[in-house]
Amino acid sequence: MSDQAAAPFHNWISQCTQIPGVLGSGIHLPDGSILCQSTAEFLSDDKLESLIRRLAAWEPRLTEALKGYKTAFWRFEKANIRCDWRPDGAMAFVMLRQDCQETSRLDSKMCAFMTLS
Amino acid sequence: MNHPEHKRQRILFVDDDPVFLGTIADLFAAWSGDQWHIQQAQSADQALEILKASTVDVAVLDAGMPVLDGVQFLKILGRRHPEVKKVMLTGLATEEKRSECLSNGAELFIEKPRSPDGLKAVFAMLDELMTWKPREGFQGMLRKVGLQDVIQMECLGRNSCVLEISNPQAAGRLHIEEGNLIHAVLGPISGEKALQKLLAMSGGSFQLLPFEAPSQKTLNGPWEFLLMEAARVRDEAAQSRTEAPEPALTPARRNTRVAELVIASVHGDVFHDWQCPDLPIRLSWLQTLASEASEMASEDFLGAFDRLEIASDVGRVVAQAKSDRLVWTRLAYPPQHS
Repeated sequence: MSDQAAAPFHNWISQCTQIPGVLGSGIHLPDGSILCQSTAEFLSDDKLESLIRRLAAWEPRLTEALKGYKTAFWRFEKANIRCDWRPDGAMAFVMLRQDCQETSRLDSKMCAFMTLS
Repeated sequence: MNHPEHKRQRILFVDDDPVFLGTIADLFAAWSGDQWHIQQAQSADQALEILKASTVDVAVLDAGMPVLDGVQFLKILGRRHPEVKKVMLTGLATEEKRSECLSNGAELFIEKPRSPDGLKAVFAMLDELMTWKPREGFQGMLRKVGLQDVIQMECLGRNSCVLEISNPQAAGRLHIEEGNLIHAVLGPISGEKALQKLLAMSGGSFQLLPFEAPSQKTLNGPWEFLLMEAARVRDEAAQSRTEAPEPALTPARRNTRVAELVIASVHGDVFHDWQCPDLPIRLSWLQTLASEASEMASEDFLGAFDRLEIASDVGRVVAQAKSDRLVWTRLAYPPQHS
């Protein structure tokens, strides 16, 4: 993907990381490439990329679990991860601190992701 | 669940829905580690027979039973078996019904669970009720004497104390100094918002502790005003609850129904199966989830895995992989009519 084509995705990721409580954000594109950005010291970009790849690989299992799924929310003791899928297979990833209260802002960002190009 | 006295707790569930009874009995017996002796009755008559023949610690009654409804039965139980702790379960919780049940001797008034989380919450509340013993100081359940009444008494008496308030979902503290409300905290929230949330709790317990100065003062103004404002916010929230916008991920939609439920051990032994179309596939899926979750949880920044929620426009799946069980619940939303 050219820098110009990737710009809206980078912009979206950057806006997500500015939401209080967001530890990292990224996008898994249908061609398998990953764009991501971490805001937490303990979460290197490599770790974040590996986590995004791991969760993107769950796509067939999610289909098996619930046809027409749009969102998967992985809840852990210290952090939560939200993944939203578009019909073209692109996946948005946002990792949140457990106490993140910005649900509506996050919902808006996920809506915006659906129309990014 | 090991209770301090290692005594098996005897609990009676009364509900005209045999599927619900079966689910509850299987699940709670497993979760209690067989420490609960669970009996079931599908009618008030059956329940009275059981109570006549055996000792029961807690009776959990469905408020909406046909013929003799739960509230009428509650009154009869209160007269005949005052020693039995009574809990009301209802499919449709209203403030009026709640007051009626609590004023007729129910220890707890709980909305009927519709999800594994709801079941867990009910289990935790019942477990708390059975194990509850007074500790030092004054402690009580939030029922006939409400939390608001206790706060008023402390303020009118110009007392200084700390009220520790909790239920299975949350815990908070309220500091009262010489009859003034000076600090409230509930999880990460403090101040007036915390006070309002504490007073909006529909059940739980509180303990009155000796006063200690809080690290900060987050409440100002006359206590009467603060309590009135909290009551106003609570009433408005109750009114608008059904109209509130739903969060995108965990929609608390009305009339959502459980379409499928599977509970199994981590080794694949099935504890409960309800309407699962293909059990081996479900179990294999859950075991894959458990393995994946365990690997992910080894990352220190994530911690232990709790659950995976998968949402679509027509329903939601909640899958849990705990150290002792795997749980799969599929919820179906009612069709949307425009």
